[in-house]
Amino acid sequence: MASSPLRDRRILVVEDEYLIAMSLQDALENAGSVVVGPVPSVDKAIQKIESEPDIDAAVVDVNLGGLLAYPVADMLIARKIPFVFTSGYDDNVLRERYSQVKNCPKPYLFQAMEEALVEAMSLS
Amino acid sequence: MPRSAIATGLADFVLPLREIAARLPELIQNRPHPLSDTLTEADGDAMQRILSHLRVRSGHDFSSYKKPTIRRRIARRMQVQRATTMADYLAALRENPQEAQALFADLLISVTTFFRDTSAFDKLAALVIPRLFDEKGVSDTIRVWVPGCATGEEAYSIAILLLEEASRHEIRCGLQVFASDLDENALALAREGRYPIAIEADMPEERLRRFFTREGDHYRVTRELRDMVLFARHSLLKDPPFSRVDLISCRNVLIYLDREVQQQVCASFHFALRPSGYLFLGSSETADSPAGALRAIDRESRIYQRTSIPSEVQVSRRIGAATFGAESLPPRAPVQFRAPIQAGVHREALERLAPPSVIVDESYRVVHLSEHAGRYLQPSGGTLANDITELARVELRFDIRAALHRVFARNESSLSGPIGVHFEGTARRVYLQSRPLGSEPSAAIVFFFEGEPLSDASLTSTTIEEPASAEQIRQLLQELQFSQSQLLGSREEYEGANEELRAANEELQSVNEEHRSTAEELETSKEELQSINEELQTVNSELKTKLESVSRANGDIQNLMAATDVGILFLDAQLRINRFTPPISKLFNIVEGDEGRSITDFTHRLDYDALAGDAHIVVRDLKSREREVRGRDGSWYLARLKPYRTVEDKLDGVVVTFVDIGERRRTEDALRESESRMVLVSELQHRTRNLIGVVMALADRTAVGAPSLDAFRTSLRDRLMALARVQGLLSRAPSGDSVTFDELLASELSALSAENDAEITLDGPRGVVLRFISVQALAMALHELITNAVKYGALGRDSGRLHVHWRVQPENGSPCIIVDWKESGVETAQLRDKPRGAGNGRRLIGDALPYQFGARTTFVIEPDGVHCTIALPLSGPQTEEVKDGQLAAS
Repeated sequence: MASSPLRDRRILVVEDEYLIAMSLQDALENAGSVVVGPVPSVDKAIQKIESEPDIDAAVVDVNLGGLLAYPVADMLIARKIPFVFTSGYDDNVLRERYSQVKNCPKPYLFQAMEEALVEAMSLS
Repeated sequence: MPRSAIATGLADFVLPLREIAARLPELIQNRPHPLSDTLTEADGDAMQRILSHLRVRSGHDFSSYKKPTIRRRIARRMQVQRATTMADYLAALRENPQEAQALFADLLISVTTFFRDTSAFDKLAALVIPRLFDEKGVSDTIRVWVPGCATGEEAYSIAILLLEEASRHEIRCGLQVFASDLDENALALAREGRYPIAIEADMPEERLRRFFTREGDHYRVTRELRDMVLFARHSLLKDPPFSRVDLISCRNVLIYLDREVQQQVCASFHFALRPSGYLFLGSSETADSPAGALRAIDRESRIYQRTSIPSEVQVSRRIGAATFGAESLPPRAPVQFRAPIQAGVHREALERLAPPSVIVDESYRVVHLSEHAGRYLQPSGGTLANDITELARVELRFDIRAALHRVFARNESSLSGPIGVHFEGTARRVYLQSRPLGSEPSAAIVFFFEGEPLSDASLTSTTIEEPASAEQIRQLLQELQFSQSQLLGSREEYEGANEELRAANEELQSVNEEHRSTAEELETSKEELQSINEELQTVNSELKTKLESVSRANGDIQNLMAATDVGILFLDAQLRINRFTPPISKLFNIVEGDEGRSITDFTHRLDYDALAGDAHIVVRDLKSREREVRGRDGSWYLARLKPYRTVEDKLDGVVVTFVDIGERRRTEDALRESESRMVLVSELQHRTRNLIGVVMALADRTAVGAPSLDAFRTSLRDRLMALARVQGLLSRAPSGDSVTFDELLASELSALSAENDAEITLDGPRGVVLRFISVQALAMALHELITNAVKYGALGRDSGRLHVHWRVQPENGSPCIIVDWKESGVETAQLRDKPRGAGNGRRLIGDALPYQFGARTTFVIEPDGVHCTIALPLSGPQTEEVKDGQLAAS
């Protein structure tokens, strides 16, 4: 794991499902990343983005406790922070509105998420 | 109103209103066919019989009236009597004595008004009336006769003119108007002198005020006017005429008479008039015969003046006084016709003693001869003329002509020289003296003086060869002088005649010119007519073409209307039906023939009570409207209302179309259903994927704390079972049922019920509805609490007690469920060395709910057992939530 491209990266995790958030956090930390959050809601995600100056990348669940995570995504795009969606939906809207953003559909293996994050960061 | 109508006597029927209605159509049906000009023999015969019957009944013979007039009048009576042939009518006439009276009244045409034909009366007032007064003294009377006066308007009109003229003269002579008519009824009305108010239109107001007095709705003639007019029953044809009349006004009477009778009447007028009296006829009548008896003063207004032709010849068989009815003959106005005797004797004496004489008029016609004047007349052979120059003896003719020319041309008397005339062998000298009569001569008198017999010697004196004596020379000179003057006269006469011929020629030329221009005009008119005719033909063919295309279009519309499946309703601006297609009958209870009725009168099979309102709005705003309406049988229609525009782009109602959209609606419904199914599928996928994610995470977490593979398997299996149970509960949620806390708790407790007799107390309100998204996490938390309690706590031993208390209370303004989990009867010292997995569950309880839902939790291990509190909000943030399928659908 020592050679993970995510090492020392500050990764924001926006995920409302506690168990999934914990799993991702564990996996990221194992890969040497610094997890910002995790946060379960749009409001908290926005607060976090505003308060944390250095975020290298983010993982954003599209559905946050019944709310759509678009404001978070828009904010990240505005700040040029690369991110990856995770969603249970296989959805056209998402692809149309955020054509540049990779979706890592649930359920995912960490390896897939890691690749998606690396790809997102390399593009930005 | 009806009373005055009856009073006029013009009504043919006086009936109650009901019977009038029944009689009118009959009258129209019985209207006579336009009478053919030729009378059938049977009809002619019947007409003669009718007239003779009438003669017996009324004493009047109408056979001299114009036949067409009589036929028209009889036809009218036939219609009234409902007779179809003349013979039928004759029968009716014989049966009903009153009918004879009615026919008599109808034949006497009494239509007249005051001053009928105003311009003619104006002429009369200007040309004639003033002259009547000219020669009259105080003791004289102006006598006027109005034959055929009917109801008296004409007579009163003349009387008014006379009175008006009289007021302009200082000397007041007597004024007398005799008005006569056959019809007693008309005369009675005339004597009454009472006329309807409508006469206001016939004369100026000034006249009306002076000669009439208002009596209710009638006018009555004034006393002055009434006294002037004397009404008498008198037949123009049968009775002798009046005499020494100054003016006869006989308007529109002659036109009803046959030609010969007209002449006869004119002759009697001539007799009745005093010399230079006036005759006033109707606008389409003339008095040209007997020739020369009357001369026109104003031909247009039919005013004639009597000439001096003696009248005795023509009317001698008629002379006599008119017989007046006793009731109409007031004593103050006796009619006098006797001439004074002395004048006659004197005239006779003079006639006998004076030299024979002849009176001639301007045209040299002999007007009167004295007793012995015949001696000097010797008419030439051939037609008898009354020209003196043709009647007189041949020797005298030339001299008479010359003398008369001097009289009429220069108003000079003359005495001729001796003229040798041979009377039965003896020749005598005759002298002529001619004198004008009156200052403006319209007649002349010629005296014949007879001189000594003419000896042979004097006759042959010019052939005697011996020298003439002085006496002879003087005589010859005289004769020469006389011959010269005669020659002069002849030449003048010749020149005059020549002049007249020239004038006549000029007149003929101008007439010719007029004819030519008239012919040209006619030619032009003919050409114009031809071109108009051509134009009309063109227009006609154009119209025909248009008509064809219109009927073609009409046929197309008819077929379109019949063929279309679309219900179309044409309404006018008042929403009355103009036209509709057959499918409309399925929606509205309209059948053929309901056109013209209002659409609101009909029931329909649509849930569309706003139809009339919508139509009114379309009429008002001129904008079309559309609306989907449901039929009562479940079908669907698209109702479209559009303003109806005429070809001139004028609004004239509304066109409503009903298109059956049942199929479309069904398709739409199916589409909607399949879409929602798609949403469900998508939501299901989301949940499944999420759930698998949770399961994976759960497996990870369980694996972290598991001491052995067996323990991992058991723990994971329990957790997955709990997850499965909550999925079972949640699966009900989309169908409307929501998950309540007591349900969830009971479900978890029953699944893990232990074998021992631990005491469980559940205390809290039922039916507390949980947030959909928080159900799963809460279920997992409860699962961990129960699992821990079974393994290590109150549910794992008989002495254990579990008390779960819950309530709803607001926290920070939003409702929360407060759950109090209290275990007792447990020695918690044992728990110190509990397996690692238990920490996992605690973490799930302590951290997951606060993380995900902002819950507040406490977890304390008290000496006799675990005490856990959870305060979980029951409602989420008041913002846009992801509803089922919204994400997928949007």
